[in-house]
Amino acid sequence: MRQTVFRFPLLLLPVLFTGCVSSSAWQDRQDRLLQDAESRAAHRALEAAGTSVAFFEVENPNARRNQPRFINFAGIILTPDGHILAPFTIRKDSNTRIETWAEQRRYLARPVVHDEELGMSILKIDPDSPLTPFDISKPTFLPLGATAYATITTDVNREFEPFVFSATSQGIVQGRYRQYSLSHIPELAKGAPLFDRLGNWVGITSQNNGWIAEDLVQDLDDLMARAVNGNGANGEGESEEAWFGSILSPINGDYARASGLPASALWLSHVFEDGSAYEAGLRTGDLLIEINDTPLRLRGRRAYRFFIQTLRAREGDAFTAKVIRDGKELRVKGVILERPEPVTFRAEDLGITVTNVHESMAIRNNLFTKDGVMVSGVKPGSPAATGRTFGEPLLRETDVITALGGMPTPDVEAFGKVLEEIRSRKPEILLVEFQRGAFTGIEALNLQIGEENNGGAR
Amino acid sequence: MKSILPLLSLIAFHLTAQPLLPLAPSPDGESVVDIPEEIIDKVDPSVVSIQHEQAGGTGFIISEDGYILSNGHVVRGDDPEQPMQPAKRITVILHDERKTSARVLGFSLDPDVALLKIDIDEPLSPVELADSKAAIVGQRCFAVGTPVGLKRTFTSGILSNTRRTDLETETVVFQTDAAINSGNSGGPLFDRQGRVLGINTYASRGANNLGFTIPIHVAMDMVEDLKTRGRFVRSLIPLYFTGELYDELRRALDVESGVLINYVMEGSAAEKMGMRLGDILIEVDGEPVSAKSKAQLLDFEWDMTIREAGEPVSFKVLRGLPGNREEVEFSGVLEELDPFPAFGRHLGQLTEHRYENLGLGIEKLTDLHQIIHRIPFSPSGVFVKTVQEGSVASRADLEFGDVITEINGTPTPTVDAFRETLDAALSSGTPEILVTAQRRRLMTRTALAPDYRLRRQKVLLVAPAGPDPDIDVILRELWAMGAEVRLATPGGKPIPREELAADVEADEDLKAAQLGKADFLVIAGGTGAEAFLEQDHVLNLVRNAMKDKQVVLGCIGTSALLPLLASEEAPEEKMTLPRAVSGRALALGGNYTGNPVESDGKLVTTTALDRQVLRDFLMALAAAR
Repeated sequence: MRQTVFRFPLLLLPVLFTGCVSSSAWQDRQDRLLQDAESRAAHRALEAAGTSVAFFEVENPNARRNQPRFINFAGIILTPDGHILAPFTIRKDSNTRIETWAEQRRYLARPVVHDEELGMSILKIDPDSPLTPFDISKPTFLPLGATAYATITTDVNREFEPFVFSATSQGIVQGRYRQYSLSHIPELAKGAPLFDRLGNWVGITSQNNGWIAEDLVQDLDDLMARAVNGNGANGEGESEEAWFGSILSPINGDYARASGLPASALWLSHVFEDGSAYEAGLRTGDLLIEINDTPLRLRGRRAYRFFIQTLRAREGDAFTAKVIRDGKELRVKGVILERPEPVTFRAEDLGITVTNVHESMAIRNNLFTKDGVMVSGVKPGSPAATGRTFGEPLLRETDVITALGGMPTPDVEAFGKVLEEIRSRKPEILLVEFQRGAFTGIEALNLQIGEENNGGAR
Repeated sequence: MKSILPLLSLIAFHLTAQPLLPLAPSPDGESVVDIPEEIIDKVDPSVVSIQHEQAGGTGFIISEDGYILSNGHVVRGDDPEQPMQPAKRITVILHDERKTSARVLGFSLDPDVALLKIDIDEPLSPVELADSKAAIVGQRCFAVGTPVGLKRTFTSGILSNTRRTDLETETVVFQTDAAINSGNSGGPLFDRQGRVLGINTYASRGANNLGFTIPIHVAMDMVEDLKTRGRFVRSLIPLYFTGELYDELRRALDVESGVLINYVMEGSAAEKMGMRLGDILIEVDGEPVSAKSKAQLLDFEWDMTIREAGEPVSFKVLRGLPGNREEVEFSGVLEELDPFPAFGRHLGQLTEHRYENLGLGIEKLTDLHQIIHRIPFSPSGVFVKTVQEGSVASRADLEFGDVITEINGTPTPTVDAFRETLDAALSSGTPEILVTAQRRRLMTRTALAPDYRLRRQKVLLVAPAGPDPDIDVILRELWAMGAEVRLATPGGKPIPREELAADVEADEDLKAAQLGKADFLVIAGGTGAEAFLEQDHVLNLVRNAMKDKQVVLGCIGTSALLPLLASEEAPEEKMTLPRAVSGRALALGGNYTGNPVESDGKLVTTTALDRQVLRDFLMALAAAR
């Protein structure tokens, strides 16, 4: 292995030889030194990667005629028992065939967990013997202009075994996960670890650039924890339950400049009184500039994504935030609360599901009243769905029902009681008063139509 | 048009490839024609083709002295800011191919009706009107028009429905299976006796033989308004909505008839008069009213709508649920309804105020906006109607439906206030103009950062002092481009502005105006601009501008004759101006092209046909520097 390693960098770094045209002894010496330095750097990169780099061949059954049927990526082995980081997202329930080479053996990998924001997944193989995991706990930053070295240990055709390439960091692509803008990257290397001249881990090769290691560490840890703990739902469950409790809008760049405010910031356009943000002391009109001790980066919608990715809210997590209020900075601490469970009620005989109107719902759906229950579902063919004209239901989603049969229905509980009382009278028709946007309406539902046995009169 | 072309080629093929056989009577002696010849002769002279710079359609003569009915959408121009602006050059072609120009006296887009007038020396042949209220399903009818430009096309069918209400129209419409195609619009639908049942208006695309016709009684209800006021004026007590008492509602409310009040705007005249949500209207002015179907409801509403504003009206309603019900009476005075904003298929009637250089258009915020666009809290501001992609307004993240409440901290409750504040900010070259807007329930703060492409450029604008809507657009856009505008008018008189209370003050008297260090000399057209052609001080200004190779000379409308009059030898640059004076331009040796805007070297000219042309001119002007 060592011999191959030593030979290969010299072949793959032709740039090193282009300078060797001077006839002077001094120049020769300089070139040799440079060459030696580059060789040593490449060597260190290969040593650092060791056998912890895997190689994937992913079948693309939907490939069109001039697209490759198989796509290759590198992967980073994270545990001895076969968790491998892959530079693409793949759902747990996917049945895509993924062949994997690890320590020169071939396995089939299965997806365990993925993260859309990160754009990565963790796959699992069942190795014959424990693998050597890569240490992602010590990231180093690659300065601008420095050379990065990426390594893969093999490729599917075993034409390269191993493979090292070098590229210069030309700038930083901003984002929640910043990237080095690299001078040149072969597609083959996507997913391979990147090292600096001294063999320190600085990032992971992306499609055209390199993810910056520092920005990944925390979230890779989280992803790994989810993979190992068996929660593979992409965090969707968590984010649904976690409740920051505010509506955030990015500050406009020109407004920020004119007002002397930071351009990467989010207005708290509305703070809900039962949310985590309110509990922490944040208020409508505050300008958020920092979350979890990380200043917001990026502008517009991307600043919002940055916020979401940095907060990674889970119920019970502590958070810190810095806002500007009345021209002064204010730092607050808080805890992420559970999202209030919507209280719903299904009235089968009417063909609707109704929900208590939470303030967030009122704002999101632009409701004009909270004194009622919001229609969250209308069953096709039911009394509520059958209007005078085909395709025009009597009740629609986001209508707020304010009264049934003349009796007010301020919330789901009252709605249930009123409906129960009405049902006991077995009426054929039910009068419904509602609010639709700014408009009010009164309709009469014919309870004798719809599914068999759903009518009060039968 | 795509679907039309194959049809035309098919016709051409048949005409050339197959011998045409003369019609022969059938062996049993029965007529082979469905529409008797005398009926054809009766209706034919009354149907006209309508053409203008945008499109065309059909119309029909309703009086000997030249009043013509058609559709609003046939005569409408294409100014997006002013949906109620008619096309500029309308020609009516009579059945005998005589052409005459026509004036649009007024039009409405819903109901889609237009009234035109032509002046012909001899009496014309008006149509006979049918009693469209008595029209019945199944009765024979035929349409005459200019489908896809094919003049005098007769198509026949039956009335498939006389009470169609599902098209979101303000009145019931007729449905017919007589073929109605693009170009039939505005044409008559006749009954078998050759009497007009209605105005053909819509056809359902993607369906076969589903044509729709506005009943003639609806159009005739509007004629007087269109003739005397130039628009259809609706009357109502603002603001309540009604619903029909369909079977289930009648049973649930235990009533036999009436009209349901299903919305009463808070604080409106209707509420103050005593009307309440849930009232069942049973009498209007002592007459019983009832709407058990959508069609009956539309009829009821139409009868209220066409009454005169200012008329008193009394109502009797049933209030409360069965068992606890009382009769309540109240009265009020009918008011003129606000013009409609655009919604659904309705193009609206409000004037939009657009700043092309900001990509922003706003209009007056009405009560109807609030209901249609779900705007809460009745904010005091102006409605954002247009945000052009990639524009200054879109960079400011403004959106359609926002309500701008403040500019640079100054409240903008009206279009007037908005325009004044924004114009002041633009004309002073403020780099970022702070904007506060209401977006649904949230307040947003943003800033417009105009590009000011004519920053620090000096414009001497010469304008006649008469009222001219164009001057408003010119000033607005020049300011939005950051130009330093010096306005010179005859006698230094101020210029009244479109829909704005405040006039624009002139900076100097035209007689004393000097070109000075101006980078641009712009001579406006419009009423009074003809006088410039004979004024030495104006000709001198133009001459000086033409001598100075650095100065861009912009001439609008008739003023484009000035460069020809000011120089002994006609300038070689290409130029354009209104067609009416093109002969004079050619006689003076002008290099006239007839394009809407012509920019050649430092000379920029325009026909100024409409606002868009004027804007294109201003863009060309800025580019010429």
